[in-house]
Amino acid sequence: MSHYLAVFNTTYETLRAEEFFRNEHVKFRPVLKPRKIGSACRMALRFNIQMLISAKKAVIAGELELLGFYLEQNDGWKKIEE
Amino acid sequence: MRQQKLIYLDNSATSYPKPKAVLKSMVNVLDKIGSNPGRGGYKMANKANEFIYNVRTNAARFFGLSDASKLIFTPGCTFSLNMAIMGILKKGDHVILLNRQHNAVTRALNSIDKIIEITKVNINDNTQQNIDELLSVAVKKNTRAIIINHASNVDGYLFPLKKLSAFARKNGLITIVDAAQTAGDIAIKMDKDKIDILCVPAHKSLMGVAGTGILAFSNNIDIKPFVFGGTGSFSEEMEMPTAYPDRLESGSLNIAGIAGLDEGIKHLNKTGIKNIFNKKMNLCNQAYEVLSKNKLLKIYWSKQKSKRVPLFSFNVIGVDPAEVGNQLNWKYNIACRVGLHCAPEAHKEIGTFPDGNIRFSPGYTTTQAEIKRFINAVETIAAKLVNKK
Repeated sequence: MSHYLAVFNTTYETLRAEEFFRNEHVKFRPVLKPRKIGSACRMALRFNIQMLISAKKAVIAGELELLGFYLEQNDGWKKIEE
Repeated sequence: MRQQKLIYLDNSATSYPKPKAVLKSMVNVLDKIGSNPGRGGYKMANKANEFIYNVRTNAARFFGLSDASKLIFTPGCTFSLNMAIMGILKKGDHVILLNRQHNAVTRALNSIDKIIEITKVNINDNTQQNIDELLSVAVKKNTRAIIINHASNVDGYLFPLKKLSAFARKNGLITIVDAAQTAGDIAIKMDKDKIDILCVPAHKSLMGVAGTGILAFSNNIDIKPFVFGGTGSFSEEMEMPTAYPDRLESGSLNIAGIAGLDEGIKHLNKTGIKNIFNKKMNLCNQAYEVLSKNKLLKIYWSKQKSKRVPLFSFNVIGVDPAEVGNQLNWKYNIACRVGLHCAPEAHKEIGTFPDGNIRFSPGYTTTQAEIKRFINAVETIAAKLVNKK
């Protein structure tokens, strides 16, 4: 099943995002950011594609510093939203 | 001779004893969390990330800072002040420097005084002018910041922070506040008090341990990095990240120290800052009532009660303070700090430079009986040393 990744600019912001994702009932898992998106030392939040609208709501509610939503595809990750 | 029980009266240097919960939390975080925050993606590292995040947001709330990403963990208040000064000031800037500063500020400024301008402004018991009048004449076109020591570590003089920061905000100046002697004793709310940059040690009245501090700043402030290195983010780039806290937090965080800080703040919230302040102030008053009447002694504490924090200093008139300190130590097992307290400018102002004086700073666990023993010791030592002359 395909997933989205929400990538934020710092670990602090990713953890702040977790709070707002929970508030919007977005089921997520913290994962290492894939190398194809950038260096792998930072975390990202992986969630099911059905949760995208709620995830967007969470970003707006928390005024989160989102670097982007990325969609998992066969050939890698495609940025879909600023 | 049987050694008497230690009376620790050097809480302005560092608070002692620490609450047991502080020590326990430090061991616990190393034992149960252990990993390096911001440096891994495994469950254990995520626990560390969450832990740091929670402490950061709790500490931001404690200091009335709305954006916790602007609360930076540092190795201490001196480090925070250096980060603020070096990260804000640039060539051609002018700074208004309030009096009673610690070397953490004066030495940092001295290192760049060839490229910046400094105007010193004094506020003390004799100040007649109001703050606006006093500061207005010091402001220039290129004035960028006002540096304020919230309270002196030498004589406990408390500066009118709210008035100073209100003036700064009105005139578009940045306030840099050294809260080494007040954080944890006096409630500081950055948003409400209009403080732009706050520098805090964990190991004094916040009841944490040395090697940990805070640099907190408001949203209108951008601080250039002072230390460069790994942040666990944007590792492929040579520049430091632009987002906070990463921009100013290079290298591994002192997770044990941060745990101690967190527990210290919890202790303050539970006990109540006002209760702690009042208890320490009552102990100071108990000592002051007696010692200020002794003609052999000179006490250094503001004449105005509203301008005091719970510490003061003293000298036996005409006697080397080191001798008094030695006798307190060896004969009575009383720990007081003697000398210039890293604040020579403050000593010049009160007339105790270069000999310094003896500082009295009780803590939350100090008892009235201990103060009684301290008073007796000081009076006995003073009588003996003055007679000996």
